[in-house]
Amino acid sequence: MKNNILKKILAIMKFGFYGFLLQFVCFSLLTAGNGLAQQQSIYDVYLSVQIEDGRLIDAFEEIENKTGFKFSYNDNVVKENSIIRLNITSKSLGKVLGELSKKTNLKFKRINQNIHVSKIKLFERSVTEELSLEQNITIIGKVTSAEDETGLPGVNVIVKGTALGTVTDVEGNYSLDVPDESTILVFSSVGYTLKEVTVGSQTVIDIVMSPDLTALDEIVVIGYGTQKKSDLTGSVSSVSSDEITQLPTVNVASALQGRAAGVTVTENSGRPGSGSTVVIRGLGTVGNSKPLYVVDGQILNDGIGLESINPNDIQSIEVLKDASSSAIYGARAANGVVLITTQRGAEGKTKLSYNMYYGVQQTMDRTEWMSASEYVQNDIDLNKARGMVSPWEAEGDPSQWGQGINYWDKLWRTGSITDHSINLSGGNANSQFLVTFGYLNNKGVMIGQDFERFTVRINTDHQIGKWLKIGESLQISRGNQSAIGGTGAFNEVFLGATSMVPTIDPEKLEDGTWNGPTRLGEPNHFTVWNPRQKVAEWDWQTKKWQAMGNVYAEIQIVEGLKFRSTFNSFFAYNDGTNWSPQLESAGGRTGNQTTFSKGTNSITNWQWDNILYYDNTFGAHHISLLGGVTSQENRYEFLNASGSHFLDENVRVINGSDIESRTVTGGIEEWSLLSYIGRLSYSFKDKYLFQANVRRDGSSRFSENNRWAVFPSFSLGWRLSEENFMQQLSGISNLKLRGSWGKLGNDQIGLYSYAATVNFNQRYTFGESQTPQVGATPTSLANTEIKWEETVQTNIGLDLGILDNKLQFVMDYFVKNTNDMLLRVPIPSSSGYSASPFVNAGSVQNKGWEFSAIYKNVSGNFNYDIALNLSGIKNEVTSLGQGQRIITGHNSGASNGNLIVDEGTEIFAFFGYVADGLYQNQAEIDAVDALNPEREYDPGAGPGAIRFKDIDGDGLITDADRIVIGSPYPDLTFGLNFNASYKGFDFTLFFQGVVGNDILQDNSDSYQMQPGSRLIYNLNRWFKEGDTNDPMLWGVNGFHNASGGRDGRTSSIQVFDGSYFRSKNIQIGYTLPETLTSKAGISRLRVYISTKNLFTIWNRDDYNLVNDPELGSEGVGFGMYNFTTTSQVKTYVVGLNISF
Amino acid sequence: MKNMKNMKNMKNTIRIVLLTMSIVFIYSSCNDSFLDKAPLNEASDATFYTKEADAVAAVNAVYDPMQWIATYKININEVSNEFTNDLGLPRPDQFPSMFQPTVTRELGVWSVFYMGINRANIALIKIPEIEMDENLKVRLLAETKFLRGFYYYILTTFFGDIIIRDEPITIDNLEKAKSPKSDIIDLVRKDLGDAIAGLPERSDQATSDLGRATKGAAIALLGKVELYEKNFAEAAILFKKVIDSQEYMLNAEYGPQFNDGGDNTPESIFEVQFVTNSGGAWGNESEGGYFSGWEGTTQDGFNYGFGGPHQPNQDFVDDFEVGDKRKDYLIVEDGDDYFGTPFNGGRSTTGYGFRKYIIPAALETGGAGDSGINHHIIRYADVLLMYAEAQNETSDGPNTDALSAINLVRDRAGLNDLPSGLSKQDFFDAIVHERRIELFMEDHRLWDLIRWGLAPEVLGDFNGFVEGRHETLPIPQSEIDNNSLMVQNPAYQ
Repeated sequence: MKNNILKKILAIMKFGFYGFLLQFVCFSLLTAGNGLAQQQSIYDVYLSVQIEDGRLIDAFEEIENKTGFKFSYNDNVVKENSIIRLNITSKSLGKVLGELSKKTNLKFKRINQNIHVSKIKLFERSVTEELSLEQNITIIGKVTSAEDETGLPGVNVIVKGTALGTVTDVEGNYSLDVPDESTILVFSSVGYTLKEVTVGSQTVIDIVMSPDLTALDEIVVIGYGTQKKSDLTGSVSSVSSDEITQLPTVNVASALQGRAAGVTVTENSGRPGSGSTVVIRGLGTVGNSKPLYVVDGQILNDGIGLESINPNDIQSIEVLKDASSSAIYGARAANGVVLITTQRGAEGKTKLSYNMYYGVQQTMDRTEWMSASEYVQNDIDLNKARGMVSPWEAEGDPSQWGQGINYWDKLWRTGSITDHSINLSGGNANSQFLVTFGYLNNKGVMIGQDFERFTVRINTDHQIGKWLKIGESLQISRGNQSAIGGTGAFNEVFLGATSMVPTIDPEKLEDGTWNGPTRLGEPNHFTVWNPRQKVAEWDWQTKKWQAMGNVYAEIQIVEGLKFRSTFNSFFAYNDGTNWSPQLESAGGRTGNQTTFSKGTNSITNWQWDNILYYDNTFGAHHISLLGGVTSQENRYEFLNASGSHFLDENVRVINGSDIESRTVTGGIEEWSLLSYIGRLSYSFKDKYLFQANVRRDGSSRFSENNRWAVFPSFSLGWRLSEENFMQQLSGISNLKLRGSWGKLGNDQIGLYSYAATVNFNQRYTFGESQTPQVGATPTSLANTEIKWEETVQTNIGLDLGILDNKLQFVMDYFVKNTNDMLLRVPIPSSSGYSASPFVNAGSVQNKGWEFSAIYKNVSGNFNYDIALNLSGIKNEVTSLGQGQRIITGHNSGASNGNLIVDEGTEIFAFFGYVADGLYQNQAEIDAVDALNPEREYDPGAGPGAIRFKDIDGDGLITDADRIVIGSPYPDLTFGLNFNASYKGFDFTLFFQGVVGNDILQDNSDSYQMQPGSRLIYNLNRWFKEGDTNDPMLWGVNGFHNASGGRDGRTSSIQVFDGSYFRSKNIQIGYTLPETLTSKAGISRLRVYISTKNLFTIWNRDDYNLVNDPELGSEGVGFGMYNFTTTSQVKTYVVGLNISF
Repeated sequence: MKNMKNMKNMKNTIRIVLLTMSIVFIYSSCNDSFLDKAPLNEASDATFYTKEADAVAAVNAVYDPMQWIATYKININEVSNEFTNDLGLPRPDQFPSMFQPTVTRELGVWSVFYMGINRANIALIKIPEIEMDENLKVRLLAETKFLRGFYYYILTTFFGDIIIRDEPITIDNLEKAKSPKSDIIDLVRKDLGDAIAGLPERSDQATSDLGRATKGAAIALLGKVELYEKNFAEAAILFKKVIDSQEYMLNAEYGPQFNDGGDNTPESIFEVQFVTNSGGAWGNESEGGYFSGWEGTTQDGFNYGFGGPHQPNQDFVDDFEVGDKRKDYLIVEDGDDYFGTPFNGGRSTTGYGFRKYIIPAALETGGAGDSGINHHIIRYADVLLMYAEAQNETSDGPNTDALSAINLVRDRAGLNDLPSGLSKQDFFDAIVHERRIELFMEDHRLWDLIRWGLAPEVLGDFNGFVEGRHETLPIPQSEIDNNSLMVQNPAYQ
C-alpha cells in the first residue's frame, strides 16, 4: 500500500519534471529574417576610435555619435564597468566591431540602423549584418514603468521573429519601422516582464512595463541588509507577496508551505488562529526548534507577534537556511531564520487598492461512527464475550434504536473566512508612505472556534537633505480568539463526543437542563461531559492587543559610508478568560462547579540596532562592510485569577465567585541580549564572491562564565558563467557555485536554568488555625555550566540559469551538525528533583538536499510558469553524550513512551513493539509461556491480545523488545506550482506533499479505542476464537481483561503511511479589460475563485483511524494523531482585487 | 563656496563619527550589568537564607513532601493498606504485578522523600549561618533532623538498602551507590537522637506551632525504629519515656479524631497536617488530603484512585470481637446512615464501607479529593500497643506493663481486659489482632505483617505476596537507569 502512494506521487513529480525538460529541448531562438542591403554596409563606414581604459559603453557612445548607428544590448551582457582600451584609426565599422569582439567576447549583429550586442557562442561569427526590406509603417511610442509611470530608457523594442529593432531613449521614447500590421513588437528590459503587442492599425504604441520580481538580479533581503541575488553565496529561499496572498492565509508562516525547498510547514490544526509550525532543514534539537522570525529587522521573541501580521502587508519572506546567511543572527539562528519584509510606499501617484475574499470552510474529518442499533448490538456482544450481561439486553431488539444520535456531527458546522484589506500608498521623491488596514474573520468548522483580527500598518520613509533618511514601521493589531475545548491533547469535547450513548439526544431539555448521556447505566460510562453542552456553554476567549514597529535614522556620512540606527519596540497585552458552566456529565461526576478564570499578561520588548555600512568599488573589486552593535531586552508579566461556585451564572467576573474559592498567581520574567555583529562581502569582477560574518552574543540566559559566544561563518561563490571559457557554452545564462561553512547557536532553554533559585510555594500547614505557611526551597536543579547549543553547518550549492534565465535551477546539499545539544537529561529520582535539568549533551546530524526549478514562459497572450521544489533530509542522533536514551511521547515514561531519541535513531522516532497477530486462545498463550518456566512470557496477555514479537529472543516480552517502528520524517517534501495567464484570465495550480513518513495513531490510552466507544472500528473487534486475526485490532486496553485492559503499550499496528499529495490551491481569476474599468476610475479589477485543500491523494486506512495525513502539532503532536484535534479544513473562496 | 560646503560636510562627518563612537561606548559600558537578569519570581539561592523567617520557611518546605500524592495524600496509604487482606476481594496478582520497578505509582515515595531529604540537607547547611534567635535555630535544626530521620526510616522500610544523601544535590553528585540498611538505621538513630535533644515537649509548644515535630514524636519514632529492628529492650525504654512524659492520653472516644474537627487531639503524637484548600486542585500543591469518601453522584463509597480495592472485606469484619465499639464506626453496611445518606452496599465490591478518615463532599471546598482531615503517623494508642509488644518480647511474655498498655486501648473499645498469665505467643496474637483493628487504614498493617514474618502466610494467597521478594519494594527503574552506581534489589534483578 505504501508503495502505491509512493508510485502515484512519483508519477506526478515526473510529470512536473518532464515539463521542464520539454521546455529545455523545445526552446525557440530568435531567428532573423533575410534582408536586402539597401543601405551602406558596416564595412563601408569608416571611423577612428581612441579609448584609453574607458568603459565599453563609452566606446559604444562614441561609435553611435560618429556613425549614427545605435547599439542595443542588455545590461547583463554589457557591464557598465567593463574596461577596454581601443586605438583604431580609420577602419571600417565592421573591423572596429571585430576588434571589440576580441576584447569583450561579445557578438555584434547589425540590423538596419541598430547594432545588437550579445554574448558570443561557440563557432559563431563575431560580426554579422542584416538589412531588412520594406519598412512601410513607422511606429512611435513611449515606454513607461508601471511602478512610477516615468519613461523607461534602454528598453529593447524588437520585431518578433526578426532581429529588427531599436532601443528607447532617455525619456523612454522610441521610433521603429515595421513591415506590416501583423507585426508583433516585443518589448524587453532587464528587471521588467517581457511585453508583446500586435501592431494592427496603431501607429502610436505606448507601453507600460511591469517589474519582473523574479529576475536574476532581484534584490533579496538578508540579515541586516539586502543583497543582489547574483551576489548571494549562502542559501536563501525567497517567497513573494503574490505567492503569500494567493491562498486564504491567516498566518504568515503557513504561506511558506510548499514554497521553499528545505522548509517544512504544517498548520497546527484546523482551528482558526492555531498557527503553523515551521522547521528549516530538519530537527536539530530535541529542544525548541522554532526558527527565528524577524519582521522588518525586528526580532520576534519565540515567534510571538507573528500571528498578528496581515499577510497582505508583506512584500517578501526570505528564509535563511545555511550558516553563512544566518550566522549574523548568531546565538538564535541554529534553527534557521525567517525574514519578513513589509511593503513600503513608492514615489509616484497615490495608489489605493482593496482586496477581499470570502470563503466557506468544511471539515475534512472523516471519522465514522456506529449507529445506535450497531452500538447496542456491539455492547451486548462485548459483554457476552466477557461473560457478562449488557443492560441493553433487557431493552429488547437492538434494531429498534435505529440510526440514533451522532454526537460527533453536532460539533461541526460550515465555517467561513472573510478578509478585507485596504492599501494606500504613494509619495514624492523625498517622502513615501504606506497605510494599510486589514480585517479578518474566521469562523471555525467546529462550533465555538473563532478568530478575528484587525490590523493597521503605517510605514513611511523620508529623505531629509542629502545625508539623512528617517522613517518608521508600525503595526497595531487586535486579535480575538475563542477555542472551545481548548487546544490540548486531552480534549474533553472530542472525548465526550466519541463515547456518548447514541440513543440519547444531548440537546437542552425544556426545564433548562441538558439531556444527560447515561440513563441506562451502560457499562462504559467514562467521566466525560455532555459535549453538546460544552460547546454551547463553555466560553473560552483570548484577546490580544499588539503594537510592533520601529523608527530608524540613516545618515550618509560620506559616499559609500552610512550609519543606521533603528529602535524597535514590541508591546503585547493579552487577556484570556475562561468560563466553565456546571456540566452535565456521564457517570454522574460532581465536584464540577461553575468556574471563571481570567489571565492577563504583557510583553514589553525593545531592540536597538546601531550599524555602520560601507560599500565601495575599486576597479574590479567590490567591498561591502557592516559592523555594529545591537541589544534587546524583554519583560513578561502575568497575573492570573480564578474563582468558582458562582451564585448567579450571569455574573461572570471574579467578584461573582465565592470569596473562599479565589486564587491569584502572578510573576515577571526578563531576559536581555547584547551583540556585536560584523560582515565583509567582497567580489572580484563579479565573478569571485566571498563573504564572512561574525556575531558575538552575550545572553542573560547563561551564567557570567558562559555568557559570551562567537558565531563565525564564511562563504564563497564562483560565477562560472562570467568566465570567458563559459561564454562559449551556448544556452547557459547563469551558473554559480556556492559553498559555505558556519557556526550557529540556540539559546532556547528557558530563562534561568543556570541559576539556583528558591521557590516560595512549598507550603505546609501549622497551628490551631490550620493555615498553610510559606515553605521555601529550591525546586529545580540548576546547571551553572549551561551554555549555547551549537550547530555547524556546511552547504554547497549550484545556481543554474539557461535560456536567458527562463529556466532556473537551484540545488543545495548540506550537512548540519548540532553539538552540545541542550538536552534535559533524566536524573536519578533520589536527587529529589523531578524536572530534569538542561545539560549540553548529545549531537544530531541533519543531512539533506534541496532542489528547485522554475520555468517561465512569457510570450504574448499566453504566459505561464512552472515551479517545483523538492527536498530530502536525513536526521540522526549521533551521540547522547553521557545521557541515557530518551523515551517520551504521549504515554511518557520509560516503559510506556512511544517516541525515542537514541544514538543512531532519528529524533523522536516512533518506538514500540512489533505486532504479530493476536492470541486466539489460551493454548497459544500457554505455549509461549512454556518457553521460560520461571517467568511469565507476556504478563497480562489473554486471548484477544496482540501478540508482540520477542525481538531480543530471550523468551520473554519485556521493554527490551521495543524497537523503532516508524519515522515521522518524510523522505521527500515537495511543492509544485503552475501559474498561467491568457489575456485577462489567470490560473493557478499549487500542490504540496510529503513522501515516506509514518503516522502513529496514538489512542493507546484514550477512550476512543476502548470497547464501548462508538468508533466504527470497534464493530470489527475480536470477540471469540476464530473471529478475526485482523492486526487492526488494538491490543491495548483489549477487552480480554475484564478489569480494564492491559496497559498503554504502543505497537507497530498503530503505524500508518503518512505520504500525501494535496492540492493546496486551484485558482481561476479574471482581470477586466482596463478600457472598461478605467471609465469607473479603476486601473485594475480582478475577480477570482479558488479552493484550498480540494483533494488529497493518500493511503487511507479502512477505519479512518487517521483521518487526515496533514498532521499539525496541536494535539498529541509530532507525527501522531488521535481524535482530539480539529482536522485541517477545505476552503472555497471568491475574491476581488481592485486598484485605483 | 565649495570649500565652505566641504567644511560643513566635514563637521557633520565628525559629529556623526563622535555620535557613533559614543553609542558604542555606552553599549560597552553597560555591557555585563545589562545582561544580569536574575529570576524575579523566585529568590536567589545566594541571597536568600539570611533572616529568621527564611530559616522557618526553609524548614516548612521540609515538611511539605509529606502531603504529596506519592506520600501521605495517596500512595503510602495505598501501598500500606491496600496491599493487605483488610480490603477488597482476593487478588493473587497484586504483589507480582504492582511491585515492579516500572510501576511508578507505588514507588513514588522514593523520589518525594528523597526530595524531603535534600531539602533537609539544604536547611541543615544554610540555617546555622543565619543570624537569628538561637533557641529557635536549635529547634528548627532539630525539626529538620527529625524529618530527615523519618524520611530515611520510611524509605529503608519500603526499599531496604538505599542511598545516603547527606549533602545538597548538585549536578556533580547525582550518582551514588546505596548503603546497607544497617547504615541507614544508624543514620536514623543519629538524626532522631539529635532531634530529641533539640525539640520541645508538646506542652511547651506554641499553639501556632501545632503540627511541628516534638520531643515526644522523636522518641516515639525512635522507639518504633528499634521495635522494627527487634531491639525490644531499647524500644520499650523509649516508649516508656513517651508514656511517662504525661504529654499524651487516649481520647475518650475512638472515632472523632479521624473525622472533621478531630485534628491534633491529645492522643496525637505526630500527624500529617492537611487543610481543605480553596485552590481546588488535588495535586501536590494542594494542602488537602485525598482520603475522600465521595465517589460520583451517589456519594457512597471510599475511593483514592482508580480501580483499586477500597472497602473492608468479610475477613476484616469477621476479625472484630463481639462488643467492639469500633466496629460500628469502622464498618458500614447497606442502608446504614453514612454522613446523612443511606449507604449503598451495592456499589461496594465487598458490600461494606467505612467511616474512618472520610469527609463529606460539602466540606471539601476545593472539590473532590481535597480533604482537611489530618493523617496520623504516630498516636498514643499505637505507642501503647508497641510498648506492650516490646515488653512481651523482652520479658518472654506479657508483664503488667504490657497488659495495662493493651488494656487501655481495649477499654476504650468497650472490650474486656486481657487476662494475666497469657503465653508470649497468645499475647503476641492479641497484639496482632489489636493492631489490625485499632490501626486500620493508618499505614501499619503491611509493614507489621512483614516485620512479624506473617506476610507470606496472611498475604500469600490473598495478595500474591512471595516470601523473599515482596518484603521490600523494587528500586524505581528511573533510579537504576539514571544512576550507574545503583543496583536493583536482588529479588527484582
